[in-house]
Amino acid sequence: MNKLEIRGLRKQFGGLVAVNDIDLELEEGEIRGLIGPNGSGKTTLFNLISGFLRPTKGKVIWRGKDITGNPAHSIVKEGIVRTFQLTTLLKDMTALQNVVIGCHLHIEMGLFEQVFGTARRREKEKAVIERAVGLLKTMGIEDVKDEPAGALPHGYQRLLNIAIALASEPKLLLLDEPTTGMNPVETQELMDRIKMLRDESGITIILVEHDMKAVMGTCEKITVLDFGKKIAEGSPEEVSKNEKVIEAYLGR
Amino acid sequence: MGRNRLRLVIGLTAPAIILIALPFILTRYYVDLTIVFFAHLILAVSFRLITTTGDFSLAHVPLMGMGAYASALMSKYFGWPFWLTLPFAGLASTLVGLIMLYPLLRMKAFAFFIGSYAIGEALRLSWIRIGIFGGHRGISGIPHPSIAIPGLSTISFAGVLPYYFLALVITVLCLVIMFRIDRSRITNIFKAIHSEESLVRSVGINVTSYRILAFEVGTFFAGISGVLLAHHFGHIDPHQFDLTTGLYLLIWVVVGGYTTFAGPIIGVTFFTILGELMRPLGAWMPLVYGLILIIGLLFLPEGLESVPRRISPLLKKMRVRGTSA
Repeated sequence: MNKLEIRGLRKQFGGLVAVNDIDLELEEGEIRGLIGPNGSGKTTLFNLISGFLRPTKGKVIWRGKDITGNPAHSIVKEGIVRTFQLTTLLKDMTALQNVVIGCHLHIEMGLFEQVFGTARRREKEKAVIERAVGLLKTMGIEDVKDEPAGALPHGYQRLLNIAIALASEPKLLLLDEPTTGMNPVETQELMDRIKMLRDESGITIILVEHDMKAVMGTCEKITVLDFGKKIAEGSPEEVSKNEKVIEAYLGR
Repeated sequence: MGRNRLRLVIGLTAPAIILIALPFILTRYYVDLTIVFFAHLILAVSFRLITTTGDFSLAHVPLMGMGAYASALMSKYFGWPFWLTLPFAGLASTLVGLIMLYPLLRMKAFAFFIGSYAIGEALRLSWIRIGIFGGHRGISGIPHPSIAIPGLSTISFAGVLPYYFLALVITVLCLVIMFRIDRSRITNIFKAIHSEESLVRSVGINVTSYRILAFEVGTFFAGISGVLLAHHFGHIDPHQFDLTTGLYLLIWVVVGGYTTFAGPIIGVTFFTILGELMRPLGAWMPLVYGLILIIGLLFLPEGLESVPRRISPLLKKMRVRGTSA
């Protein structure tokens, strides 16, 4: 059964068509690569799926439910969580506090309880912190949990962003260039982690990535965008041999 | 641990003793001043609560006025007792604040600042236009609060001394509640909305509802502060809640600092004492206020609250030099 279905999705900014009638179908548990030159509409597509932007036209259907144009916070509740191309962290807070903020949806605490509660609140609080530490462990960065996020090395910050996204327990995870600024070893480690995540919790992942080696080695299927249009789709081998793709990347 | 607790106990009892002894030492004038100071404390701390989300609201003073008017009307015309008008006046401010938010939530940062001024001013001008609010002259003869204890007599807070203690209890209660909010996770979310809104949205937090929450909680306490003033003066008029007061509020909070809970408290205390010391200057006072604001922004951008943080490394250096010499 198709979990994510995108039909004729379009986003226009004035005269510029950033995403041009894209169709996309994703299987459950798939890791899909999304590639294309700069400005080809990859991030805009993420913004449309995650509710950060409203599409001009078209539909986003998630597990049979039309979620087109829903606000971002309600789409997260449906299980679709995205990360950002630029590192987006609460720099003054510790790594742990960042992940705790990410656990928001899974903290069952009313305003009154947060302000006045004592014993029960402390218990819940403990559970949340345990969960957050667990997520930092999943990403292999639990050793820096008490460091301010802004002081972490770039690679750690990228991993922390994924840990925050995982805190919302996504069923579909949209990763926007997660390896930016990482060296080849770190990149490989992250790719292994992403595969492990899929194998263990069965989440579906869309990966926007510029590192071709990483994409080819991780994804079963790759979708290629150029000027807002889907120009190719298929296995890594098929895509890398595709005329249009070679043309888009190398130019004529 | 033990030492920290000791410090906390001393830190809380010393001001408590001072605040309880104060009205017996001070002259009537200064007791009056301290009551106003209490109301301003609630006003500034609640203003800062809203700023944690990045919303600086110039409607805060008119909304304090809303609380003052609501309590004045309820007690004067309906004869409601103080313990009823107090929460209901807070709720009246909250309700009016909710209506204001309808357009304001579509604004951010500077647009919000200016928008909140416009809509706050509209509220204030409506008091001049709508008959029941008494026009320019406002409302006089607001009754002194009294609390009836069933089976016993009525406690009247007519005298300045009883009213001082009533105001003290209410102020402490308000500050404790706002302090608890400041220490809860909710404030972390407020601050996160201010610094990384897109991250907050991406983890399923409804930014709009948290902005409403901060604004409404702050507005409730602004209303309470207005009630304290109304029943203290016995008279209110629209000019008490105009932009001048709003600007003073901004100066208190900006010079005191708004990154921590203590900032606005330090700011209000500093300017209340300063205002008294400079009373001989008369009409020149706003000029001095302006100067202090500029000096503060230049040399203490994080406010007076940052002074200890800034001084401690200096002191350490001096101590090291002292031992090595």
